[in-house]
Amino acid sequence: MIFNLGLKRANANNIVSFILLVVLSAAFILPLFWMITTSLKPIDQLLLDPPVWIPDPLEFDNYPNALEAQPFLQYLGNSLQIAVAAVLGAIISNSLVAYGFSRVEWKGRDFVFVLVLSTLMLPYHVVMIPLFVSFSKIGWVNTWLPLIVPAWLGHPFFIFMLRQFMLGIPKELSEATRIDGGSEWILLTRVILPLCKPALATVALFQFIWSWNDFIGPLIYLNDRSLYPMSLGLALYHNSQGITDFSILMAASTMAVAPIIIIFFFMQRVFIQGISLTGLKG
Amino acid sequence: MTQPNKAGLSRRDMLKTIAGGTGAVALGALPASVVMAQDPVTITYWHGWTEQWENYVQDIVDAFHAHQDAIRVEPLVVPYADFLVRLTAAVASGSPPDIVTFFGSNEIPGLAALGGITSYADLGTPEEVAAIKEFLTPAALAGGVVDGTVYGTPSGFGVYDLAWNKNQFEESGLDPEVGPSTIEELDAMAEQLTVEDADGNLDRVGLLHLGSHASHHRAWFGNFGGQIYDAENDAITANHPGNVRALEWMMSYSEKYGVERLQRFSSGLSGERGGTQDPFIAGRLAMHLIGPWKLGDFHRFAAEGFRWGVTHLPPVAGEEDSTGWGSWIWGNYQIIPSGAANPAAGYEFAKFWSGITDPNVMATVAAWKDTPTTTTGSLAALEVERIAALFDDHPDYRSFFETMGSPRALTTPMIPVANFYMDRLGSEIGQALRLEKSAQEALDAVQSAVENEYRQF
Repeated sequence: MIFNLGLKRANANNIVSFILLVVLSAAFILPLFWMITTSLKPIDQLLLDPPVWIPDPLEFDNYPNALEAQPFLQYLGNSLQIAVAAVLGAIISNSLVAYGFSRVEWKGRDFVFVLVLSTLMLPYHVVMIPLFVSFSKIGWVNTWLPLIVPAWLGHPFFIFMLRQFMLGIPKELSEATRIDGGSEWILLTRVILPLCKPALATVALFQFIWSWNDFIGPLIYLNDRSLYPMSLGLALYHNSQGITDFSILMAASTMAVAPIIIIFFFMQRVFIQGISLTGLKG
Repeated sequence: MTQPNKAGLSRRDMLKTIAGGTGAVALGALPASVVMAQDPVTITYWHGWTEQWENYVQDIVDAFHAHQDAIRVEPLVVPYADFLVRLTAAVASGSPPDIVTFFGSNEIPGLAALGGITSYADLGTPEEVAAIKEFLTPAALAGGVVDGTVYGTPSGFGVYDLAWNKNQFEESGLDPEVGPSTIEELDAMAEQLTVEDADGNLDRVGLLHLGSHASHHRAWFGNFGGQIYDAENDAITANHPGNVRALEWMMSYSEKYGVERLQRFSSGLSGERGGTQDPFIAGRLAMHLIGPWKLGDFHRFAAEGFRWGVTHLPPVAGEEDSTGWGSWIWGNYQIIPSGAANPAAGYEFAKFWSGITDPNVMATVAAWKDTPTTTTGSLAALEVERIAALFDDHPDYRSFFETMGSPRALTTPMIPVANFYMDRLGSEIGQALRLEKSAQEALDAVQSAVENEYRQF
């Protein structure tokens, strides 16, 4: 009897959770759905009241038109180059620093770690002008270097995440490698990093998304339109004076978010594993 | 034996003299930094025009290149939403562009106060700056002046007049050829033109205030003799009696038609740039404040047979002899950032944009591809052949130029807290139009908040 009551309560909880998740998922998916459906609308169905949810006819020409309206493929190529270079930098630099903070004992380690973490408290807009002045002085303005090189110098959030993951790896593994004559480099590259794959995948995905979506960085550093990435290029689909063709803009936006969705789709298992194992999950 | 020239000057010498003299005159008109350059000076120009408007900018640049060959302009489109962030970073690092265009003059006072832009007094001679002041209308000049110093010159100008739908006038038993000549007439016409559906919802509104654009409200302020800022005494005048009177009049529409019904009606309208869905073109509003750019839209988007008229904002009965018509006007301003590599060359391009160097360019600036889009900062545009020719096809276009010169046309206050002021004004006007507070209370609140902010700045 009591068992049945418990089962019923568990089922009721599941149903409530399920409904809640469906509602929340719908709320999150709505903007994406609106973007895709708008990308397929003919121009005369864009601003109708009540709004058209499923356009008729479906205007697939908006996609080739979006490719023609702006140098979309150039923006795409630029974004990919910047994001991939930044991802490489983030993986290499952050794993090295995190290793130093988690697997190597040295005096003042925890103090320096707190110091590194404290830089997270500085909003980007506070350091934006000093950074711009510095990069300008060394002649990096109007190049991709200010968008890529900082990723090669470590990020406190990634350092924290990888350190937490590495702390969870048994110390015996390190000791066994050292007994076998393995150097710290061997230990890092042959033992620790292969075990950190989920966390590294998470770092890669986060860095890719940050670089892909970064708008302010390219806005202030790039003066040559042929260097513009997708984030900046999309803004140019907006008509400054007249009527913006939102179907073209949404077609371009759909194509712009597609790489991130595809990457997430293939990496979601390791990504979620990385989030849960590093203690970032609430 | 060679025949001596009667004038003692060979033909070749004469040509040399003319060429040299012309060159000297031409070079004399240019600033020293340009003259000294062996090759053309190349300047960077940042602007926010996108889509087909990039071609508009390119046409101006091409016209400038055709006009002279000492300066080459390299335009760069920068998304306007974060234009100021980018410009601030560039000025702070000492690597700004040579010239930029601001949409509106709101940012100029703040930048001038921070030393971010170069005064024209540092770029041109006193005679030249005086000539610029003479060339521009008072309102156009005012948008580029901070504390008596000229910091920018305008190109195109937005200005509002009142449009009416002739077809709907006819349907409602009104004379379609005559717009309202007084506020009282306007009120009566608006009432006659407003249509309800079977459920009592508003189907068409004669004239809309609640839910219309904030700049329309400010245009009515001017029409009732109001004022936004007293430049002479450096005083905020949000609660000017004319503004209070205008707001009370706008609120009378909320009282007459009902706040809830008006809100429901306006929430169903698409924006001002809705093409075929534009509320005036779509027939949802029988009278509406429009800018000259709408004339082109009427030709492009309105259904066949759509007829309209344009008039100035009508005065209150008994005040017909007042000083002109109310409106809200704003322009695009060219400014030279501090620390620019070639400020003198940027200044030359700014003058060209405004029509100061060659008034003919104003035809491209205001009516690109012969379609009325804006007015200009100078009424000298009326003498430009291509603009005058447009009045035949677009007779209403002239009305906007007339309003442009009206002393009752209000514009952005040239103070560093202009954005804050406009935001607060919009918010308080909204509350008053929803009948949440009186006009006096709303405008007193703006007055006190903006004065406080201005004092702190």
